[in-house]
Amino acid sequence: MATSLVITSGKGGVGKSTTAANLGTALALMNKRVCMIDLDIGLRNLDVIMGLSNRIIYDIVDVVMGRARLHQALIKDKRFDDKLYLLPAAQNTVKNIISPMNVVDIVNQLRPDFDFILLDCPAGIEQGFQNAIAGADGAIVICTPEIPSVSDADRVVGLLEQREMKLAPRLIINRINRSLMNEGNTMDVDEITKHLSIGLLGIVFEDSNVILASNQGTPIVMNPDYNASQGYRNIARRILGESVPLMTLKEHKPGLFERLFGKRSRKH
Amino acid sequence: MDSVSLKGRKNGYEINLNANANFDDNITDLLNLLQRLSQSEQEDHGDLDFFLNTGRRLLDEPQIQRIQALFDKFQHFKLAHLAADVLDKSQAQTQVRKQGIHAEMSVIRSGQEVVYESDVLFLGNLHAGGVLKSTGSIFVLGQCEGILYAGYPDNDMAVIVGDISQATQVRISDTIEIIDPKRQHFSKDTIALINDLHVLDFDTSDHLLALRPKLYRKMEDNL
Ligand SMILES: Nc1ncnc2c1ncn2[C@@H]1O[C@H](COP(=O)(O)OP(=O)(O)OP(=O)(O)O)[C@@H](O)[C@H]1O
Ligand SMILES: [Mg+2]
Repeated sequence: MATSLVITSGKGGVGKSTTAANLGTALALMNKRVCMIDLDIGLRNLDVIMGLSNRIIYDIVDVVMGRARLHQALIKDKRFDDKLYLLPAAQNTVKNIISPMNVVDIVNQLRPDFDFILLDCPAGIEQGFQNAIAGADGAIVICTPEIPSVSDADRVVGLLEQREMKLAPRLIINRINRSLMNEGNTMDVDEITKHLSIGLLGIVFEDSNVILASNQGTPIVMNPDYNASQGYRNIARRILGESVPLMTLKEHKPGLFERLFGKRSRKH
Repeated sequence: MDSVSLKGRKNGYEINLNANANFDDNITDLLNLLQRLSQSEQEDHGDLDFFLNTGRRLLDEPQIQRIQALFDKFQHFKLAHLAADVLDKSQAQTQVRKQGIHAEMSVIRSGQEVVYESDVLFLGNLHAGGVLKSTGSIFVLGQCEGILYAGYPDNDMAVIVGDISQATQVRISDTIEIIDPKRQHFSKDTIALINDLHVLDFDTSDHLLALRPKLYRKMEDNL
């Protein structure tokens, strides 16, 4: 039976869809069966980040309106055998066509076939947000180390706590610029976590490769070499209950030897 | 035995209804009493006020109406006051809540508003965009970045005590002050209050006794 998690933030553009895509992929890579649902009706993104746009035939609105059955609308991501599916949002309809009950219904139909259902929430706290949290057992709140983002996250956590979900909300701090944070020019991880007083699920560094990867339709987490990729993989492991230490904020500054002789200096 | 007893008062009478008697007996005896009184009272006395006490019996709405109906029969008799010596449990709880000081320890987040009908000892965390509102005073020991509103809606005697340097605004009764730590100096024992000119003003809490003696004593009793 699947656990359903909504990925939400209040503020727009802080990385909800990117997180949904990368966590979905990371969990699938760890052999979990995952279904991602894009609930940003009218502004769908998740399919683009996953590189699945051209395969959309039906979307969630078609399912709700009875024009398609649920399994017809699910897109299977062929890169991961039978592990990863996407229920895309509609691109050309008005948002209010879907109700919280519809989402609860769809999630419950999917539960027996999956380990995780990830709900990509639209920005804001209106109807679309209500729809997304209605179907969730728990929430992952995304924020960036900026005051407006933390403040919106705070608002959202308040609304989530009122609903008394099965699982307590947890936090991901995204787009951390290490040198800015180390120099004290942005709120730091501890400050943000303490302020929001919810558990920290993980951190993801600012990494331009995230944008490149999204543009190519291959979530960055598929390539383990990048910093951001490691962040998402660690988060996925924590979701599965492993305890993984937080990535260090320290920047690697090459010492004199290393600068002079590069890696060679180590061989002696 | 009569289940009602009568006492004279200036401009009227006090009547005690015996709570151990049957309420129907109370009503019958009360009617008899009122009839006797109306015969003996002079017409030119004008209106007479009656103060009724039901002792340890709490009347419900239909019972109150039955008593009111009795008085309506007599043109010059007015039911001025009807009370019991006892309180309804929920009424009592509300009163206790209003009198005591309430400790609030939660996180008040952006967009949330927590309201009290009492003095509040705030030990929690008030985030920017959140509001802590009370009809009484607020004593801050926690962290406040949002809006503190004491004496809502019109209690001028309410105060806010504690570290308010990080708060966005403090409001007391109908006054508002936007907090600007650059302009004003705040300490851990700042007290915000409405002064004689009805302006929101700041002082230090060691002056609480002089400024708000009643509140000071109440705090002494409660803490
Ligand atoms: N860790 C990161 N490093 C660099 N860029 C990032 C990172 N995370 C997200 N981005 C970029 O930020 C932009 C917004 O991300 P995304 O679309 O996931 O946000 P969102 O919260 O889903 O937005 P919306 O509210 O519009 O749905 C994208 O261009 C994405 O590639
Ligand atoms: Mg999005």
